[in-house]
Amino acid sequence: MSEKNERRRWRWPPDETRAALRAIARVSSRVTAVGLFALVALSAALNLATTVLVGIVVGAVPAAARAGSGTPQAQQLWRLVTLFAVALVAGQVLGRITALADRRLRLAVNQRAAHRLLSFAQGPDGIAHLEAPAFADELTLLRGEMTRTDPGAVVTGLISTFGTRAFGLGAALVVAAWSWWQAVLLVAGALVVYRWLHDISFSLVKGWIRDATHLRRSAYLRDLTLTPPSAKEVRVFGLSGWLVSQFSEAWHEVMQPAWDERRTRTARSWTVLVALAVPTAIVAISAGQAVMAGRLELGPALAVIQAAVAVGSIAVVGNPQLFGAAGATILLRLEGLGEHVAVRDASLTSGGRDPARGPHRELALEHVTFTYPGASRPALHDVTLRIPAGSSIAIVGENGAGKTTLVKLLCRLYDVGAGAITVDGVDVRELDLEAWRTRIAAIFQDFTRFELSLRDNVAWGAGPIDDDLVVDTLERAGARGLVDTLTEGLDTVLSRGYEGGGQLSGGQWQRVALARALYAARDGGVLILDEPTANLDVRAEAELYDRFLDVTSGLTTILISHRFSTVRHADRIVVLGEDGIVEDGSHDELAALGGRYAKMFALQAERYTDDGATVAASEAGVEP
Amino acid sequence: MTGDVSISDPEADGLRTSVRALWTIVKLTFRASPPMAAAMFLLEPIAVVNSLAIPLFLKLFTNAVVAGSSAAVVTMGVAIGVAFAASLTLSTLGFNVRITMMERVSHHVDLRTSELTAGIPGLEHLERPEYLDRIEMLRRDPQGVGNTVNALVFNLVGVTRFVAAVVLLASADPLLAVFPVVGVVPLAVSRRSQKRQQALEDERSTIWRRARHLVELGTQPASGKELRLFSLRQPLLDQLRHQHRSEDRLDRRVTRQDAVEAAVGDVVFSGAHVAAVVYVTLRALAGAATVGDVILVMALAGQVSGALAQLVGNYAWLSGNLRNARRFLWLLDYAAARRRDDARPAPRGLADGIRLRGVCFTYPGTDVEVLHDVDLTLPAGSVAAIVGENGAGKTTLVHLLCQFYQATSGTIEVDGTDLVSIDPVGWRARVAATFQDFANLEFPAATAIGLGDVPRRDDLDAVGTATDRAGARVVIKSLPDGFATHLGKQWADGVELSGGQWQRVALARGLMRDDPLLVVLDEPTSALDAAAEHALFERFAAAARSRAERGAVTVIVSHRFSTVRVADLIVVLENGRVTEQGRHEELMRRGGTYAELFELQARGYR
Repeated sequence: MSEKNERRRWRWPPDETRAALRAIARVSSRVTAVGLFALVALSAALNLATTVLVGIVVGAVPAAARAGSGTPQAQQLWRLVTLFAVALVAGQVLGRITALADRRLRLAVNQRAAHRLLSFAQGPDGIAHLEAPAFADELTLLRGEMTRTDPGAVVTGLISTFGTRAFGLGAALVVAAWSWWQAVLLVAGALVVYRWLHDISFSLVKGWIRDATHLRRSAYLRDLTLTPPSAKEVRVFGLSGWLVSQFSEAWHEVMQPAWDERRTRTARSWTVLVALAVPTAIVAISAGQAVMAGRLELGPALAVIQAAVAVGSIAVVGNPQLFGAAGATILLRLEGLGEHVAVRDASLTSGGRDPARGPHRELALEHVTFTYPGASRPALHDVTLRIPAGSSIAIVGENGAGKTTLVKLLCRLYDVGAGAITVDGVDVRELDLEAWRTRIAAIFQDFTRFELSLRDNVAWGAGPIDDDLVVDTLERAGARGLVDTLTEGLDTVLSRGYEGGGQLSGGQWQRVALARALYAARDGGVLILDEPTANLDVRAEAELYDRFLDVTSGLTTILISHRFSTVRHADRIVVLGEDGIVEDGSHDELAALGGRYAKMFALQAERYTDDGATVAASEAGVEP
Repeated sequence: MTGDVSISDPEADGLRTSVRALWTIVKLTFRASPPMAAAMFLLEPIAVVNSLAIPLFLKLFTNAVVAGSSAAVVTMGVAIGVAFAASLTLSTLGFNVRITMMERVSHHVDLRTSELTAGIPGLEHLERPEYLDRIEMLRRDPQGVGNTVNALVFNLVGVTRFVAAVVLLASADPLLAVFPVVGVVPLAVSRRSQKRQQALEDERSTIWRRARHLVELGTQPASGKELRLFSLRQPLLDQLRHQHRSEDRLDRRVTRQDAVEAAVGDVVFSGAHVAAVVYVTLRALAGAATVGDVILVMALAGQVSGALAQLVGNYAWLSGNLRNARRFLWLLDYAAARRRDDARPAPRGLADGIRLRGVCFTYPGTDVEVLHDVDLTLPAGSVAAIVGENGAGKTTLVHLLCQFYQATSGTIEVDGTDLVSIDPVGWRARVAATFQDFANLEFPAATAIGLGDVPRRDDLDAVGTATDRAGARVVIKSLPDGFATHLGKQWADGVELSGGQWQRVALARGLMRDDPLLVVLDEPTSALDAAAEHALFERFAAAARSRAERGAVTVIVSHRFSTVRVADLIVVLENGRVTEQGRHEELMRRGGTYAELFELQARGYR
């Protein structure tokens, strides 16, 4: 995306300006936008009038002084002073109005950018884009940049650029009325300076955005020293010295070239001196000489000199232009992201059929094979599995066997590569996507902690919320106690960053997430439990599984766990291996089979038997 | 918390702290590069003086024209051109120096923040919410402190412009110097509006925090799954729109108030401006002022109002940025208060063991005691297991042994020496540990493991041994470039590991040290499957055996009772108290909590 910008660099108006114009057009009506620019132009005209009037007023002073008060000359002077005052005040008022409009538009552009970023990320029905490194990178980068740099700064940048350039060009016209070639000289000089300032400043801005990518390494190293997850290891392993030196090295590696470039550019500063000083001096001297020679009045001469200095506005590249360019860069990349999403969006489509409150007979996988985009090996290979509606099944397998992938496919977060997933014999791809998802609920291993109220954490998005049902569901998930212990009950925001917010432990969060899944499955359907007790202690886990039948009654349940004491609660257990399902049956059947499950179960179980104690103790070199 | 009394609260807007913070920043710029700092503080103010010289030269030019002095007209014409060009050139050069300096200062602050934060031996500053918030603010906005430099120079420029303008006006007529004083009105208005701005910012920050959270939820894969499954995508967008509407209402309200006040300020100031012009014109008509004086006043007046607007805006900017500078200062003070130079080195080996006597502990900033009167002897060469339910204090006990915190009362003795008197860095160099909440260190695999013993991080033999000890060889074998593979998918050619694989890498790192006095395994196998867990225990047992000869104490925290039963000593913690201790058989015979919990878990396997 950035290379494309590089190539299009000399288009006029530049991409940045186009992005700014588009952004303004999207958040305001045509009338508002045109009105704003008319206002800015008027404001520039008034400023120019004030500048020129300074000369005219001063020019009228000698004549008025000679003529004395009450004379037409004196009256003319006071008329001019009044005009000056009116132009001054009007210019100020317009400036204020413009600033207010700028502020409101800026906010609108910022909000729209945030909204668009979220829409782009959320648009696709699957999650392949969120897990694709390039897209995820760009998403993370933009999300981070938008908290530091206002995309809305493009509004200020555009208003300021338009205003200053109009002012400068108007001033050039004033000079041209005196001498066209002097005006040309001034404008040429100003353009030379503009190029210089533009190069310096925009290399800075480009650096900000570019470095945001390149400085990730140093930011990562820095974060390891500053954030809690790594704090203990940094201390125990004494990593701080190493990390800090690596951080500094990585940073200098990126910044040094930028500094060198900056130094080379600033070396050209003498040209500016010449390009601006010479034409301005020429105008001043020739106008002065003309007055002394009687070819020009003092007033117009001073006005021309004031205008000559004002032509320099064409060259100005200040903070508004800089931040505007940074904002525009973000908007351009955001647009690129949008195009990217539009292309990807087609990959997963919704069918038209109603799942009709299924599954009524069975949920089945038929020879399902799936390979993640960009991966070389399939994550699932030829998996066939039938789950009768209303029954529970446990899936076990070694780390990396594809259990979590299976869950993603069932939820249609990805589509199968080969084979099919069917509900009562109908391929899920033929079902209405949203309708199918309302039939399926899950607690994921990496469940989400919403910084929302307890109520919304359980029942958000599920239409009108029934508080009694929420409390009931929390009870089934073993989290009824939260309603009473949190200061504001169901209304408590589950993050201490908010006023009255509460903090939950890992185990409490897990129960809330479980309640969310149970609430979503209140009308039956499929319930997926992916390591639902990883954060619970022995007693809490035992309590939950004691009520397993009650909790999952009426649901088609899929349980994933690597704790074998828990999977026994399911009606059926399947072992997922590299080549699909390798064992399938009840606990007793599989134990009798003496295969992979039996071996894995025995491994865990032997440590709870008295024989196991002897084995384990002798392994540890400890006499029992 | 005794050390904190003298440390000022960075969130309070104290003038003395602000001045100290500012001074610290100024010193930093000169430390970064003295000539550059000098250039930064001089170039832009000089540029301003140059631009203010233009009205002065215009005055002299006008007087020369009126007097008909051709030579003076040429001189002043050149002077106007040069002053104009020079002001633009110098301000651009100054701007460049300022940006570079800002980057350097930001980086320096960043580096110091890293050094200090990681260098403070304890964990309080990274676990206590209000401290963590400060560090988080420093982390999130590294430009914040660098921006103080920016704001400082802007203020310097603003003051220079104002003073120079006043001096020039006074040079024409002393009475004209009164005119800028009227500018105090908008300044006062702005002070008031600034307070309101602060209140607004606080209100707005809640909205922003929520909006940021919503965008984060929508853009991350983990939450992306749930948003889709629970049909939360539209509600999320609606919620964001709702936050935006609140922000909009807030902004509309403030904009209206600001507009009224600004208009009042403008009227006052324009009035003063016009009055000054009228006054000097009258004086000129009376022959008491030159024509040049009129142009000086007219051209300068705009500059004065500009200077004032700048001063006002920049003052608000500076005080906003000083918040982060004050946080940095707090960190400097906090780290200094926690530095100790009187510590003893760690012992060479353990003969007796580690003994806890009446240890009580309360997390700083809270009033709930999490460990009560813990007496415990961990003999040299033994393997101890700590069990208990969530929140019983298991991890806290480990934190104390690693010197992340100090006991509130009671002592921990290492071969009879109080642990508090031992240098934490030296002690930890002899601790090998794997934690429940281990870090995913995203480096080449060899480095991610080798960092467990920094001096030997490049020693591939040592890394290989640790890898085998942790059963992580299978992980390495599955990687495209083995040990050279970069871990973490956010890096080019980086490979993402599963939870279990990351845990094995963390375990290998924890087993890098060859000669520890204390081995800590805090829930070491939570993400591993049955086969991996089994294989691992065999190796742990072997490692513990070899260390036993040198007196190393191994502490295992687990709520898997299969791990625990092999220990020489099992300690049951309940609500911060030791309620049972002994061997597996003893505790089973006793029929207490341990036996109950063991049965609870074993039941699933019968």
